[in-house]
Amino acid sequence: MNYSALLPFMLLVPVAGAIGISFFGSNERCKTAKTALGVSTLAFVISLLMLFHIMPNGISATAELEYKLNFLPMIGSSFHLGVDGISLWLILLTNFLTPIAILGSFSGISNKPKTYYSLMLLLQAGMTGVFLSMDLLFFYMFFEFTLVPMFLLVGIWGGPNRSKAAYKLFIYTMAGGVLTFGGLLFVVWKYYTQTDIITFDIISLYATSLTPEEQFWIFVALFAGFAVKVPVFPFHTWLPLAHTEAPTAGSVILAGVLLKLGTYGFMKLMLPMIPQACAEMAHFVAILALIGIIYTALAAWVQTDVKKLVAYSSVSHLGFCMLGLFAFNHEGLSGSLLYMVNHGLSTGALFLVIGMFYERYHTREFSKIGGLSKKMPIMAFFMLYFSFSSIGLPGLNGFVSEFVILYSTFTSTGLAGVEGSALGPTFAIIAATGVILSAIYMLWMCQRVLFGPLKEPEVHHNEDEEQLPTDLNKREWGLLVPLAALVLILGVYPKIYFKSTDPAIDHLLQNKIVAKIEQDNNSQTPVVAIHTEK
Amino acid sequence: MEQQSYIVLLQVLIPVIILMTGASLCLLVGVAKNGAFRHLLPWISLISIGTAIGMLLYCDCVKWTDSHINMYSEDNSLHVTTRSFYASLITLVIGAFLLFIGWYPDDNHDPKGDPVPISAEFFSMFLFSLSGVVLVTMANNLVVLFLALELVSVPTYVMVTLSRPVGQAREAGLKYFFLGAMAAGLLVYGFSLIYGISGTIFFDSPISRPDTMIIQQQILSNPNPYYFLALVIIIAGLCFKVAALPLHFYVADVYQGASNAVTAMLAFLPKFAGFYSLYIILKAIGYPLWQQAVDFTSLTSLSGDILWWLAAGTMTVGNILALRQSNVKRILAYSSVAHTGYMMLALIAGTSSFTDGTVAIFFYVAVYAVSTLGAFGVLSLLQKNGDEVQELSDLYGLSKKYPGLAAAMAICVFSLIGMPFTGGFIGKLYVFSSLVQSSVPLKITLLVVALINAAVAAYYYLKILGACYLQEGQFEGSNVSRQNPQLLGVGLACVATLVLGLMPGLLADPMQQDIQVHDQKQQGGKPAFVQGGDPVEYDLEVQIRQSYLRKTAANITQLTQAHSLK
Repeated sequence: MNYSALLPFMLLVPVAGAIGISFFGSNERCKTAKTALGVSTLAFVISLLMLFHIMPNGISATAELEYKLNFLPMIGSSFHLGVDGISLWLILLTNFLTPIAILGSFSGISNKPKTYYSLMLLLQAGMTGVFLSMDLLFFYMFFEFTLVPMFLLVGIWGGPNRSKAAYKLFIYTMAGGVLTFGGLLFVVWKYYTQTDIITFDIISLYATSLTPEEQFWIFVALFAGFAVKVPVFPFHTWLPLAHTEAPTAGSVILAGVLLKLGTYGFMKLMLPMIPQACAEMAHFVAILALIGIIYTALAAWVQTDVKKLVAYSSVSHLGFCMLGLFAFNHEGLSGSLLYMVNHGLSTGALFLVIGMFYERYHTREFSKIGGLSKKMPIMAFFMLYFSFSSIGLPGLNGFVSEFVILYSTFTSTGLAGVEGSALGPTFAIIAATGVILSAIYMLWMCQRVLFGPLKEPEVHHNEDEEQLPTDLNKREWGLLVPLAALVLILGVYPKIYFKSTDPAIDHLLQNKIVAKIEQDNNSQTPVVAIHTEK
Repeated sequence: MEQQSYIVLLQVLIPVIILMTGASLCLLVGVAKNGAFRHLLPWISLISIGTAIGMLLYCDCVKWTDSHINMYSEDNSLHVTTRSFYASLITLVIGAFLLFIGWYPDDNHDPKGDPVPISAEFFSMFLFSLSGVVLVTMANNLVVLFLALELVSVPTYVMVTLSRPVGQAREAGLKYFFLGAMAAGLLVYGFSLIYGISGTIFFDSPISRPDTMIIQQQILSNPNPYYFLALVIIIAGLCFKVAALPLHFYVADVYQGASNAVTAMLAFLPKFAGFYSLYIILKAIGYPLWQQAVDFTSLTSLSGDILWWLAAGTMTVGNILALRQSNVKRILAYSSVAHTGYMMLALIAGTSSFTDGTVAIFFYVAVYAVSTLGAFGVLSLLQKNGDEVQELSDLYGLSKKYPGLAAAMAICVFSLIGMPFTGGFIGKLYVFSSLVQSSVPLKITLLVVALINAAVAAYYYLKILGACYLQEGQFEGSNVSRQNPQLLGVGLACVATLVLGLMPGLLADPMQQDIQVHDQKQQGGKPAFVQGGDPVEYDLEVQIRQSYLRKTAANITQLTQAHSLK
């Protein structure tokens, strides 16, 4: 069996599902939802098949499976998919979270269910596509495409302020994204002038030799797109609004996967393509990340809305991710990638729990709910559990990645050959205060919502409505248990992660980033030579 | 064997002749006493467009795409090149789409819902205008170019005026006519200056007639400062046709006044004709712009500079004006101005880069036309109180009442924004990459301006989408009574938008390949500066003589090859 065919199927299945669903009758809400769940689970099964194909053979450094199809041969773009040790985990995360998000919206979505589930499936395909793309054009196309379903998900099924949130989300991300597009076109053109080969192949384009000045401007262009998506500190204002207004599943996907498209962009494109500029800007990015960690943690502390608090905590946590990426060592990259997965699991789960509270009480205000552990002890347990994971309690997954990132920042010596790119202990110490702050606001949130005297708002429920203020039902058990299990597994046995990603990350760091720096320093080496070596 | 590159006038003109015959037939049927005959009108139009496409493919493709040698009419007034073939093909196919949208031209402003008799003028004028665009692509001298441009424009004045039985339409028609007449005056003045100085009206000459004077050669060998004046005036006149910066003011009023089908035509026919003419004119003074070949080459720099600023200004002004509108047709009108700005990028990028500027324009114009006509098609299917649906607030709740139409609108709007997997994205990709690869000065600045504009534009397009999907409210309008052809048109437009986004290679690859081959074959026939932009240092006379020798040599080689193949 040719396992490469799994890659396009991972995209085709959700897209076909989305198209199929739009032919259902508009009153078949239940059938639509179940079909969508089935389709997205099928995509997850395909990604598991891929995992079980790759795992026993041992993960090597480069792409494991590849699939290629001509798209625009005249301008050198092909539909080129590939999976390596780095994208493998993010693909699994995407395909794991989407079925959960779909299952999580069974009770909440009654308006236009067909459109809703089609968009969820398209979103799944779009996100998977970003992680699968080995072609720059397709990377960018999938990257931008995710905006379309997200805009509609927030805009149609969101809260009272949803149009503003949707516009802001779209315009912010699009404004950054188009600049990224310009930067990428520039790189392609530079590569063409150097080699006379026109290609959008990402791996080939790594070898483009660029002057420091060009690297700087490309850094600015790519940073514009990816930093908005992550979001890095001054560009983060769209995120809390989008989170507050988005439906629960939208928040889960947004925090769980969409933000990682930004960090993945940093890892896949910026670091290997323009390492010189990245290393020179390392302090700048790290300082922004630190400001983000501290400032948004403080902002989270004063929120009165549970969901907004978690949204701000997302920004704060992604600051750690950025810090790890710009530490320029193996631990940093590896920890950062693990952080992406962990943050997706724990924050996604927190948004799910908050969504469950919201379905029961139609409010997320601290002033209106409290002491819920008395009424719903199991849900309270899960909330506390995922909060601990988010804080970084040893034994749960958050701790591993946070620790690795802080360690990498502390020991960072920067990129060899670039002055002043080392981060060092100061950065680590300041970032560590963020961990303390996150403990403060998370525990404070749990205390207010779960403990103390019972406070319930007056909500009039219809008799036939599913969500009476009671503890978890079967569906909700099904949502939270897999997440909780993964959180625990990655917490006590992170080796499964490190074992599978180490060769790929080593390859990225040594053969791409460090080698590129050497090539830049020794710019006499013609690019053609490097190109033909491969 | 010399005749191989010559064919009779009739053969070059066949698609145009068919279209004009159809147009005349429409007028004849229109005077028939029996109103039922008038239902034949759209069918006649459709058949003539279909036949024209067929004959275009048969005459041009079969006979000549293998050789890629330009075909000239005997008097050298018309020629068919690879570019003109693709331009005509795109024009005619989109013409068919436009016809579906305009099948029942008067429907959504009839208060009682009774079927109004179909007006013959509409179809006949539409076919005339369409044949004008095809003629523009074939024009090889100034006179034919001017006549063809007027053949595009004059029928549109009539269509705008007659399109709706309201004062607004008449006002729009009058405005459009006066401004158009002024633009035509500018054009003819510029053309006459060029003829006066150069003494020739030809853009190009067949390989076997090296003694024909062509404008390019005259400009090079006989520099004259009045060329500046002529060029500025011509560019101004064409800016009106493409709705670019200094002459864009009419757009919103005319678009708003005309019916949706006519507006969709206005967004495509004059714009494409104008762009093709701009390309012809710029080619006549020589690509790439900003070359420093001869003393006099500041002519190309000047036109380059003018178009640089016009491009940047057009997209910015168009987008800023569109941001403040609340009327869908006015939004789309100003967005059409902005799209003109993007297309100008490819125009000044020229034909030297490997992402050819003309390929970018053709692809972009095709994508823009299908997306816009889809959007206008959706509007043309709706009515409210016997009038058109125009305001954003009129569209509130559309997705609940007509989910299909709202989805079509969404696809078209996303394509206009330039979202991936729709044609709009690939169009922008081609335009921007042709700019990046060109030798335009400050091209990165221009690119950044364009990219920021693309992001700004997203906002007002999202407002249309927001009106259909995000806003609460009940859609108060209803469907028009007769809607099947329009639905087909909208459906075709959406499918085309998606196909151009998912499989752009279907159109772009053959076009790019053929044009590259064509340019390589033609290189012998042009002064050397067409390639690369290196300074031409030796005597021009010598150079031109050499190029004729090369031409003849290439011709002989081809002929012998053709012989040996047989």
